[in-house]
Amino acid sequence: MAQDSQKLHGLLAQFDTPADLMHAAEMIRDHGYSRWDVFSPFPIHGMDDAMGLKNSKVGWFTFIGGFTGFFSGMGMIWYMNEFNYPLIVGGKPFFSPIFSFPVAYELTILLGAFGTLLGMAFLNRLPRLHNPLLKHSSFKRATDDQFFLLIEASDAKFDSSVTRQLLESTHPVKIEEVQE
Amino acid sequence: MEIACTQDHGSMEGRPIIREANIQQFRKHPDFAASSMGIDSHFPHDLPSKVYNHPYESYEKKAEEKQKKDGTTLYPIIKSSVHQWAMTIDLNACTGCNACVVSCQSENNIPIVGKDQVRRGREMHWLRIDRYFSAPVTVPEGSDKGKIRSEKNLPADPQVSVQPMACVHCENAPCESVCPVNATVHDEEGLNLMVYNRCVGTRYCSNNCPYKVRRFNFFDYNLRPLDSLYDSPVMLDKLPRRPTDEFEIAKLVRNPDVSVRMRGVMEKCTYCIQRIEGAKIAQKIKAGASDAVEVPDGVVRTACLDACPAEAITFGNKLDPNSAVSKSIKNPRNYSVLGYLETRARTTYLARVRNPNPEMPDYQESLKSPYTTQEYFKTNAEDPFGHHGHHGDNHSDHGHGADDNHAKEGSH
Amino acid sequence: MQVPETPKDLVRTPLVTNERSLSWITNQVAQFIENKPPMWWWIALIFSASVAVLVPYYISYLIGTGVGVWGLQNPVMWGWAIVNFVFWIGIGHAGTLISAILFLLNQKWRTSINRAAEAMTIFAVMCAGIFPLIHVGRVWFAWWLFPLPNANQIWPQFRSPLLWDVFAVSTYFTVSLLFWYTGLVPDLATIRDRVKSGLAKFSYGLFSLGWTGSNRHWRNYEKAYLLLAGLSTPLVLSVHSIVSFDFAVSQLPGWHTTIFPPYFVAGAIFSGFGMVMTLLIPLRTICKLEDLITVKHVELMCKVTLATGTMVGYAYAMEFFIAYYGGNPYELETFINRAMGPYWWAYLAMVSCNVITPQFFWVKKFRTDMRIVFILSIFVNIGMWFERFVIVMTLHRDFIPANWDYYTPTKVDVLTFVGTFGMFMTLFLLFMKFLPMIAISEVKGVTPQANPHHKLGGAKEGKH
Repeated sequence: MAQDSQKLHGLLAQFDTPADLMHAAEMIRDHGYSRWDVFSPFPIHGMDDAMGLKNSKVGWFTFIGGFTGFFSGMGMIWYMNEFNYPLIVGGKPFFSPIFSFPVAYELTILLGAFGTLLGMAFLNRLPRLHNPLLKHSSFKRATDDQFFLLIEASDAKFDSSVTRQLLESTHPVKIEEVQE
Repeated sequence: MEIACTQDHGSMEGRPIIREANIQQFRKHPDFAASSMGIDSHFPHDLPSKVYNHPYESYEKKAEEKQKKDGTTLYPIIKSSVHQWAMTIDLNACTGCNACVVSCQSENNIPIVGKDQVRRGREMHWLRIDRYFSAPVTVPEGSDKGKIRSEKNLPADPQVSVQPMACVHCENAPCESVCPVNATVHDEEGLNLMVYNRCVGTRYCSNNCPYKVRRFNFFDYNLRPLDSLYDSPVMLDKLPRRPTDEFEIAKLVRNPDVSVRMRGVMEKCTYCIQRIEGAKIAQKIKAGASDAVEVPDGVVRTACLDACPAEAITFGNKLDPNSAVSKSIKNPRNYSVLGYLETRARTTYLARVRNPNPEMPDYQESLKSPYTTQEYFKTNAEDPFGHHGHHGDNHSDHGHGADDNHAKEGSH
Repeated sequence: MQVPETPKDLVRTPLVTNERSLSWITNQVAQFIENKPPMWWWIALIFSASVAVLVPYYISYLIGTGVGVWGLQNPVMWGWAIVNFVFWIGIGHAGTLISAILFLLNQKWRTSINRAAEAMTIFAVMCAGIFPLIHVGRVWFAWWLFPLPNANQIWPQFRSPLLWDVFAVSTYFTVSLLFWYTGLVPDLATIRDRVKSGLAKFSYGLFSLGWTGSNRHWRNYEKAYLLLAGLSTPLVLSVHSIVSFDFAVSQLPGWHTTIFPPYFVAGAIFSGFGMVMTLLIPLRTICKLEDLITVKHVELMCKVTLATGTMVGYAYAMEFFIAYYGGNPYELETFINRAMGPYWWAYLAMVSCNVITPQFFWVKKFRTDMRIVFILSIFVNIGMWFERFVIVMTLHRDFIPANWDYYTPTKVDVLTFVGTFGMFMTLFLLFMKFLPMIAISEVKGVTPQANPHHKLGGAKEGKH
């Protein structure tokens, strides 16, 4: 596994503080790159704008989950207690949205929660257990106390020297090549 | 020495469970039980607006319309137009002899649980005789005369009041709405059904029953000898079981028309549904192709009714205006225990009227009221036979004049 | 632009004391997982596991012999089992409040306690869920409470609060687990990046889903976290309300009151915070986490305990007042019986532990003394158990006096309950060993080092 026969995944710049990372992100954003990302041990306030990212779509999954939960709860109870096998119970009506509410409400929350988590996993393309970054030794500190910025080699505007110069102008701690 | 007793509390605590009056009070207000005592006497019972309709009522309306339209029956039948069972228990006739309890036990295969379990409050009798002691609220004579009676000055001869209580088959049964598995539901003839094979044994129905008539099979009373109820099945060489010959003899005791319940299952009075169904089947066979499926009055005799020497229990079809039970329901003494909860119980009671003997030495004292009524008066700060004794009378403009029609013999 | 210096009087007590660095936080929390477990942990684990054995032992006896091995009788058909159920579920609510409600209220101090509190919730709900399952007469048919097709072709009855309970508690457990797991993912990645090879690296790697800390991922993650918090908030309020409906929907005087849902929820939060403090105060000292779970955190928890305890005390007073003012003689006599009848001693324990004990937290000296807070938190839990006991014992005297009786638990009742404490502690000790006890990424996120506009986060004078 010679070094030069491996494909380049991208250039990784390491930073000490969140402020440095944010300024770097703004610069990369302004230069029009698209296949790049920043990595931090915690979410940084204002980083979404610094990267030019739009609002997350997880909410839609939550809504679909919740909507399904509520109406399937109501529908299930209507089917079971009024349509399929109505039984006189305590002189109460066969179906009422009032007595059905607790169960439907809980199902709303349950399916909404599943929607949220599965939606997030789907939108993040997780689980992704094989990632070139995870093999890169200095990347371990991304979950500890260091901040990283990666520009992928597959980006249209990527050029080994131009991109490297751009990254150096953001004053990182170091810049490394990440192999596939 | 401990005594295994099923009636652990002596006093009725001033609650209008058993409603009694002396003969003079009864003559003045014959319907005292329903209209002067209890929270239910404070409001009318046919309030116009409801939050929802009982399925019986909504079905009746729809069935009537369908009948008018094309003369056919609306299926599934939610409320039967042939039979609606009801029962009354006349507290005047009841002597508290317990024959009904024994008869119910034999008829319905109710297990014997043994002294130890009875002491722990786990007797299985579906029908019980509630027994209360009562005494004058204030001490009538002696050194403590006029004082509120206490433990020290209980009389030697308190009054005793008895009331047989079994499942009253509420139309708005509180037990039904809390069962999570539909093990207790209502049938089209007004019975509250207990479905043993569906019961999971959460016991919520018993908690919600205001009359506490439901009984739970805590152990395998039928399967195990009574002294091995607590044995763990994993600790012994074999499962604790009754010896085979004892088991076979026990089978002969059982009524084949009634199931035997396993542990973990709730049970209660069923209005002897096996006898009702038997009578209905016999009637249908007799009717053949005709429509005469209504069981005549007096054919269905529940076990308790059968055994009662005083004929205190009446059971029959409420829809038949000439049946004994319909007439009994119209009796002015008729009232519903805990009626204010609007359980719409099918078993109602006829209030007790005491007729104290003027020759007796304590005559003056007992003339006022039965002691339970005196306790009721003290607890609720109202005299049911006082000037404003009539509450909840729908025809309020009649006032007291309506009662004078009842007080035919004797007067104040 | 740098954040201007705060005037001295308005400086907030830092959430991480002694100006610890980000890597210090990582090390301090991860060391318990990475190092060999200390001797005290082994001793505690063996002890609690042996106590936990009581649970399967007595449950198998119960199921094999019958519900009669408990002290139940007519009319008290629910006894210790349901008291324990409500007790454990109530304890769970603090975790969800800390995780979800305090998140929505933007209370940054929740970050060092939410992980352990949510773990406590999940374990408490597991202990709670045992009781409704085993208290039924025929446990092998307990699956009938779920809307599954069966041979009788009959469905469950949805008007029953027990069924609402089935859905509420299952949802609560599942959503708490999902929320807790979501919070764990970045921290599992941290651990994954620190352990050497082998089973540990594989397991942490698997469960961290390949998390890299990518901001594109953080963006969706934060939205998901917010939504889960937003879902968990009505969940926690509804679950204990539904548990209270087990009582409130019934007819019994003393149970049939509309005050039960808010009263139970406030009581649950109260008891839950009591248990959180009982667990975290020793934990912070033993595991050297005093700079993360600071005195300020404990103080704030005491204040929440005081607030909810006062609400519970108000509820007691209001119940009694309405029983008197409402004119229903059965209701009034039930309340008088609670205070002066055969169970007066339970009522006394309840009122003294729940109303009087939290009032000590008005005094700052008591709030900041860890030993006093620890002792008072234990009293809170005792008091809340007695409150549920007093409530369930309403069964012993209801409408018709002929039914009145007295309930005594048997040793099976008591030891099963003791066993659940062993189960709870065992699970918690295992959690301490294998999972990060503190939400590492969240705590880092509230330090000044994480703020890009703060000096410690790298902000420079005059620059944007």
